[in-house]
Amino acid sequence: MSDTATEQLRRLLALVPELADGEEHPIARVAARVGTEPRSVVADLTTLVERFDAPGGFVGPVSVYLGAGPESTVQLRTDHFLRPMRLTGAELQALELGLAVLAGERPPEEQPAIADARARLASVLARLPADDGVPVGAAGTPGALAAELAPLDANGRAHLAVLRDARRDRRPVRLTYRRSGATASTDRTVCPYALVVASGAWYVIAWCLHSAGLRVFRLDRIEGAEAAGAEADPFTVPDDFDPGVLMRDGRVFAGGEPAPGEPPATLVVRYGPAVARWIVEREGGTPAADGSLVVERPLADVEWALRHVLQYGPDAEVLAPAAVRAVVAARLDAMLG
Amino acid sequence: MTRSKTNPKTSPKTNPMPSPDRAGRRSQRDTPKVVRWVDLLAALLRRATPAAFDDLRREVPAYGDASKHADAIERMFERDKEELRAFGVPVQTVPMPDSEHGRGYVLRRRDFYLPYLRLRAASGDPPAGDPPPGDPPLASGGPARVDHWFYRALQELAFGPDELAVVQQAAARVRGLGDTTLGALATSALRKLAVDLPVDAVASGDVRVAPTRARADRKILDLLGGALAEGRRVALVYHAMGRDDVGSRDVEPWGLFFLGGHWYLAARDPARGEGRAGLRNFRVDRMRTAGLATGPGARAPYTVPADFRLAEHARSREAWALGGGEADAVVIAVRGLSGAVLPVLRTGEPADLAELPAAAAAAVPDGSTLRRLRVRRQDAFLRWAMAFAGEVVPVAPAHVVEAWRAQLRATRERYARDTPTAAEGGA
Repeated sequence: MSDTATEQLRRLLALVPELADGEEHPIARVAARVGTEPRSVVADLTTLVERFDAPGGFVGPVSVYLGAGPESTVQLRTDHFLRPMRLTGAELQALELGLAVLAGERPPEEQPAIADARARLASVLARLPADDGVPVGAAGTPGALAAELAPLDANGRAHLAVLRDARRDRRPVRLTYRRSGATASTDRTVCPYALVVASGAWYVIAWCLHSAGLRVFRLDRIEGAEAAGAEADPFTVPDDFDPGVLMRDGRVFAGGEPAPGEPPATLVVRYGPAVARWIVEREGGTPAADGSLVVERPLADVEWALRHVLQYGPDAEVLAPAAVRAVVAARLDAMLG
Repeated sequence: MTRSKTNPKTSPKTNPMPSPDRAGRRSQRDTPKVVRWVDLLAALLRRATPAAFDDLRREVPAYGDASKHADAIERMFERDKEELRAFGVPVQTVPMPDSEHGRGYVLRRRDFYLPYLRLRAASGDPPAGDPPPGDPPLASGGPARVDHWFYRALQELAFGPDELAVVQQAAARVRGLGDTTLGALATSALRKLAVDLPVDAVASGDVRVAPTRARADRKILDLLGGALAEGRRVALVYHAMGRDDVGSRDVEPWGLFFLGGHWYLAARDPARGEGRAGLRNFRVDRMRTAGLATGPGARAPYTVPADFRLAEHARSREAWALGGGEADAVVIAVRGLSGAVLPVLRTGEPADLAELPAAAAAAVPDGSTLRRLRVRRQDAFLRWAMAFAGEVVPVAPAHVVEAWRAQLRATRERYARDTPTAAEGGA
């Protein structure tokens, strides 16, 4: 099937109901509503006119009028396609994926709405005749699709719900949090700026009032989350905040600031041939002739570096900085007892 | 193209867009595909009864092209019909004894057009679905109905506010995954709903997903979806990362799932075992090629066990819990209390010091919490435990403890010198 023709058909079937009232409509606004460019609207309607005026056609009258100028308008009169098409299997499948993801994140009290939404969407699917052997796709069997961005247990779902509401309402949250290397949890009040999924884990990127800085908190290390009372002042998210700067190759980096005057530290790790292909698949890079791979990353957290490199055992080695090599060696000595 | 800002309803000077006759008639030989599709749809939708191919040939200009052979025209029609079905259009083939081919084609308006949608009040309204007999056809504030008999038979369907909010969030979550095709499909679906309902089709979601580098091929995903729906075996050329081996295999698809940013096919590989013993997960972005299997027996039906639950199968598991074969009951001592080990304290089952051999019990550090894990892959378990940098230590059985210590010693060897040397002998 031609992708171009398919997209044009999809646009046409979305375009006509927008113009169904026979009135004049600004082309730019119509284009925005159907998610395309004004020139595509004109091109698509040209196609429609040519179709109906072609000799031998007997599908009813259609007229298109285009106004001129920067605020040009369009008017369409036809009897056909005045309602949108039902959802296609592919469209439903896409929404099913989103619903399956939500079902894995939401607490029990929100599950009925997800199940109801799934059933409602299934009732607006354009169901294909089963007797023709045409693929219906996974969307034909609602609920058959399984999806999970990152695992969440009951506590995680409850904490996520608190953080989601707080982010929406711009209200601070009191967190009880245990850092990766800490043996005791601490309480702090944070302003959640973004919820992020990366490397199979949930994170909240928040302004920490306790440390007066931007911090990344892993959801499975949160022991308690409670919305600050209504008396707490709402916060604003800085216009220049972009969670993307903390994410790279599917990971979140804590983004620690180097001390004034010091260059940012770089962690250099060599991965052996036995594991290098996984790193290449995940992060890119070109292995050496012997199959090994050297990767440089910003070093924001020595404890993270230690845990990261140890998971590969003898198949990964910190090359630099020397101080981190020493930390790894010392930890291995302690583990060997 | 002649354009006018004048309202055509009020000014006789306004010209509609030129017809092909005025702009230069397009040869039917190169009629664009989308033109034929729209023609065919319109011809089918205007009828309440089946259309024979002869009817369509008269009403779809491209099918009336006298310069083309009748067989070629019919093949074109068949191709168009199948492509529209692949798009999702529910064209049905029905018996039509009086027609030349004995069959006709139907596209019911109520099967094609979206029902009228309205927003149900938060409570007290009847549940969504067809309105019960006698129910008022349209509550105030409902969708505007099209004043044309083509559309009178369309039903009405009510969405609850919570359901609609969830649908909008689901679409935003899909867009956030970074798969542009899936995101566009979700947006397209919401734009349809937005014709009647208060939906922001492009609203951003509340969760940002870090995009993964490896992406599944959309064509392979579509093929797998079709194979699943039809119960067809699939021939894969697959890169098994563990063995770093690219090989062919014919598998029986049981389900597709999306986990942690990647698509997986759950499929039975008959070469790996009978029943569930042969069930494997194949990451779609590691499939070099995929197609419907064509060898001997490729079309023979296969059975997915009735009690197979894809959602349960697809649940996140640690790599050491995956795979077939017997599981080792490994007892770990969680001796740290850092945030990193909090999830470990909820993994597996509680274990007791009394169940350990005396030597193992003696090695358990004071203050540790014991957990018992069902480990199917020792190598994956050792990697997982190493990542806790000493806060998680296996204490039984003895062969796992020995493998653990060997792993520690081998890793320590890498740091025997103060500075790394050249790659030889390195990691």
